[in-house]
Amino acid sequence: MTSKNRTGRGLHGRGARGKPAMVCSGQGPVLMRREQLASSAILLLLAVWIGVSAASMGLQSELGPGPGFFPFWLSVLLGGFSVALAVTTLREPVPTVRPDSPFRMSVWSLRRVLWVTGAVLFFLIASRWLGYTATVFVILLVLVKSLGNRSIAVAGLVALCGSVGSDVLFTKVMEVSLPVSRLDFLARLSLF
Amino acid sequence: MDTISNLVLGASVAFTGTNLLFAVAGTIVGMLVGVLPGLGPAAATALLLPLTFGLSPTGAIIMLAAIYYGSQFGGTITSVLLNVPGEASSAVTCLDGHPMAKQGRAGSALTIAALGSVMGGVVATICLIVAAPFLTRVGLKLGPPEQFALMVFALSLLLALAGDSMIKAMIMGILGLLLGTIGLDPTEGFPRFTFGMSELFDGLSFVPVVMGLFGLADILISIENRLALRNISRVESVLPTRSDLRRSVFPAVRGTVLGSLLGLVPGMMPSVSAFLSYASERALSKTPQEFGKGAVEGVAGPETANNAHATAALIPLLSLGIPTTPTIAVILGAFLAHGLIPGPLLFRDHPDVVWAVITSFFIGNVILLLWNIPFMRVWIAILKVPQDIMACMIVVFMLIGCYAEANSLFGVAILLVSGVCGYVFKKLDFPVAPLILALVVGPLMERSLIQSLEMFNGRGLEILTRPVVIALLVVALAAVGFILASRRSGARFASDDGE
Repeated sequence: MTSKNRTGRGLHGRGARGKPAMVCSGQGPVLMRREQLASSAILLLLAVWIGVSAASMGLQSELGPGPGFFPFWLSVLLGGFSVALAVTTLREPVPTVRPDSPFRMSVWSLRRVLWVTGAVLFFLIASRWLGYTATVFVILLVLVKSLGNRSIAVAGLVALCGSVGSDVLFTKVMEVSLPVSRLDFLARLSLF
Repeated sequence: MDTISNLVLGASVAFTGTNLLFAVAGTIVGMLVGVLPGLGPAAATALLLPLTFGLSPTGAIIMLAAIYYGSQFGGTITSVLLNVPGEASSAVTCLDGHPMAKQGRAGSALTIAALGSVMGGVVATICLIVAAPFLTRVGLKLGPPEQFALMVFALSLLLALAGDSMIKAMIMGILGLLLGTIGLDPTEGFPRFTFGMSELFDGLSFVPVVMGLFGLADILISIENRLALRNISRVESVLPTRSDLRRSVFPAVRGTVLGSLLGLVPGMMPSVSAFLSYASERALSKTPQEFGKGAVEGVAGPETANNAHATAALIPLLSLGIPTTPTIAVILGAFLAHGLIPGPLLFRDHPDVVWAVITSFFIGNVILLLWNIPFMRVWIAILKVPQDIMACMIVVFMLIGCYAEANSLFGVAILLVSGVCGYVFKKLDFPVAPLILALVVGPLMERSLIQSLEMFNGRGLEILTRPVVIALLVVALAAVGFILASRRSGARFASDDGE
């Protein structure tokens, strides 16, 4: 059982085997109506903020176009396309079967995503205190243990080789500067 | 004669020990990037860019370019042996390459792919040598209004990078242009959208942005699911049969022509050439029923096309300064970071650099062949490294790359923000490739627009009195019309964000 939308292009309902059929339209499958409307609203607000900020910088100067000229017109375009995205989304047929949100995931998956983002955040905060090698050792230990579900011994070995090895490779061989600990005892501990 | 003397000059620079070493290093890294699913060439070139700041511009560009075309090679190995494309451009190789591996012909598939790739790369380099000086002469005649129109043309082709929604592609392109306005404005030095942070005065660095949008976001998406164990096909012999070689010749020739032509078009990805080559080989074949079951033509054509495309895509960059793909945009950034502006002036002012880079493409392709076939088992061994450990190490390399770019943790903060944004964009089906291209092109576009407006005392419409501008804008409109019509008729260009 399928039904046509207003433009006659879209189809929704249930497929032949009773499974939810793909809802199609000119802009592709409607999978995330609510998320798209939310992103349109956020983009529109962003466009307004950029437009106002750019206008306050000055659209014209004595020399010609002012500092705000280019971003102002870009914000107008961004606002226009945000509205177009919202309108297109609203014109899509409402799916009879509510699709899963793209952000819906298991606690297990969410935890893995948070481990990696947390690792980058940890590097941002801790590396100036612990220095590169110690920070990366902690990051690798936690990530290898949590993402690969490996034993602490394996995780420790990978963390040790990865942190010390990358330090030697980048600082000694490639002469790249990496964060150094602000704590004297850790800085002194560094063998490199 | 000029071209030959330039090539001799280029060869004299490219064949120095250091530059050969950079070509070797670039090809190895490129192969690694191709072999490892999860890290695309755009993120990899961005990752290594900060590490090249201490090198000579020639060496740095040779290495980054080698990573780019080397990754096209490496992606084939996983496509054939694992049925998992290392790069989007190698995805089509899975269709026949993996069935060949299952029949015990993995070595034959990989060798033919390698030979085809070298042929594509070498022929496209010859096209580059022929076309670049001509395009350069044209480019030298372009003033700011024409340059602006050229950028509009390049950006109009962003629509080709659209996934399901063209509106989303346009939004991402505009966001990229807006991110390009961060920093001091080009006329008065007024700080724009810097929030008082001195790190942003020079503009938003694209290295952590690219790494976040392509590298970190991809890792976040991939680790949501359990990283599966790999079942690698065995490679008995790397020598193809005479029949396989004979059947591969014409597909390789056609793939070279197709890839070399499509590589010139901004917005076209190597995967488009590969897929079109596959479709044309199947259409031309007397035995189309063999396709999908291990037809060697289905490997030779696409693999040649994607490498020819990758090299040909450098023609618009070197001769006109137009990046056609996100990785090329990163290479453009590398030129700028080393104080060089790709385009007509590059050929005039720095012939030693540009011709050395061009000559290195020949060298790089030969090196790739040498690395590929005799060391096949080494690459297969790399595939056996557990994916979770590989993902962790890639995160560490990204942290190093972002920190090393300016010896500051600010880059790491941008990596985090852009990684999370990239993750959200991917979840919501917003293509990130247009954002990267626009971010790199944006400042150049704004500068040429402002210069144009100053030329005409602010009367913008007078720009339209210049015939080249009109021609370029008409071509841009025609391109948009063509893309819209293609989409309406059901055809869709690939939107392989990470290439």
